Amino acid sequence: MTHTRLLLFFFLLTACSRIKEETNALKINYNHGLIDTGKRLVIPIDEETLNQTNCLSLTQRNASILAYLNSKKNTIQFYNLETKTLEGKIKLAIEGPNGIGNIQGFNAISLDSVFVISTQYSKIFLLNKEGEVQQTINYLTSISGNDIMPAKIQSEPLQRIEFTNNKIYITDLASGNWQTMSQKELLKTSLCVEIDSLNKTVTQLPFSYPADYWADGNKEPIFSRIYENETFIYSFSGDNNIYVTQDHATSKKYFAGSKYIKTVNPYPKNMDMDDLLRYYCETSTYSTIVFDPFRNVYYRFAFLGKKPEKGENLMKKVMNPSSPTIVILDETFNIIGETKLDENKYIVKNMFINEKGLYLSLNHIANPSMKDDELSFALLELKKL
Amino acid sequence: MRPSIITIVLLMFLSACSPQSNQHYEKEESLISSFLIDAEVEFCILIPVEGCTTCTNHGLKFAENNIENNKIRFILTDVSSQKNTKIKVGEKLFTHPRISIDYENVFTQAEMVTYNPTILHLKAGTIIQIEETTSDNVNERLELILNLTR
Repeated sequence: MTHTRLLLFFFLLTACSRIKEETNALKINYNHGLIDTGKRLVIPIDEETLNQTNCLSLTQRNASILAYLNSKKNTIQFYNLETKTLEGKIKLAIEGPNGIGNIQGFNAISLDSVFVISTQYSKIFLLNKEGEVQQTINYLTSISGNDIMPAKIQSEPLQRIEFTNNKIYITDLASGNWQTMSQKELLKTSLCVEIDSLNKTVTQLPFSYPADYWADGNKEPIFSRIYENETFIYSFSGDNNIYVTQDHATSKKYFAGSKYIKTVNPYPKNMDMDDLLRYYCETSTYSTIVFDPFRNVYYRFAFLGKKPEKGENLMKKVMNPSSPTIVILDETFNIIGETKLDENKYIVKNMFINEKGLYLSLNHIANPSMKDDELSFALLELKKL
Repeated sequence: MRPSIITIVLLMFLSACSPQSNQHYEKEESLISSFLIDAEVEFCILIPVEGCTTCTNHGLKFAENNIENNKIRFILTDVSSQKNTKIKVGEKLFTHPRISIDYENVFTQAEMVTYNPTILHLKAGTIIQIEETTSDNVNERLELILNLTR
């Protein structure tokens, strides 16, 4: 009897201290929000340009130039946000001496200096405004002899190539069938590849998925990764926490979950294509994390799951998520607000940040005001509530 | 009178043995009637334009390579706008007379659009079978059509 009481006492003590520890780690104040100002930025586009893209960003040397991927034309187009006109374009050759294959994404420094990643080659190409290759950085094989797949630069979930002194960092992803692979296999994946541009070595860094990522079942292993303030920040699609690391050997986790998401459900068992699409529609997931250097905050985007209507085209629904929410974190990763956006209005993958605020594309396919001959952005401002 | 187990089993057996060609596809035939399909056409392939790019590309690639085959007709379904369709399918297919575009999205409304191409088997203008392809078999099924129409 005494033993039982002692055990119970210790159990309660441990449980209390655990809760305390977690509470101490969380500083949540929902006292900030993103408000749609009603101000719109509209840029006309030509007959050959779609009104949404998988890769866009402001150029690093001129924040009034928006670089925009036209993947159908294998072209990067540059729009001047002040004059709202096309300032220039770089046409990328698929074959030949300047051939890079089909463009996957880019990192634009200026109109005359763009790092490009292709879908076919494990190489980074530096191109000038004529589309001529100025430099090629090869990352095909790591020093341990492993093949490295072509990296990704994309707007959603946001992933970029990051440059620090003489090092370049690209992301990698778990390869295999995500529905059937084991947690052990998942955790073997190195999520970051370091390229030393001086001695030309390619190293897979030890950082992988959180150890308990698939503890409740397999879920999407995709993630967003950014480098800000000399720190890498990882936001996994199925995890309420974000993970912060400087050396990719140790990391610290911070709760950065949406108040609308308790947990991210794992894949259903024995599913066909329809079940999988239904799962994507109904499951809430995290997406891009991005830093706003003008206000020193991070925005972590998530999509809230929603049951599709009867007869609704599931594929279209998956490709155009309808219900985004944005968790706002301060520079030390405390939650300071969350804004649930209007449904079927904004496209999270087409956004950028400047001194005025956060610009989100209004070209959601279900937005009645969407026009296919213009890029249209809403200006959202961060406000103290 | 309740039907006996034997009757039910017999009926199930008979219905399972019924050839696909005996089915009537009145609704589907009324949908394709406005696309003026010639009697010599043996296969009409519905290719969804929006949605999964990889799935769509299988069908578009096949259409591009076999556009002159007069036994096959293509209808682009699940389209959003003229501009988007033109960019996604390319100038050649967009303007080709053997390509029809379902701007009214009648196939989508009739829930006949899947993520991969759908093949309508025709005989003298009448649908005798409807085959939905999957990402696993789409190439194989399209290849089979090619062999049958050579």
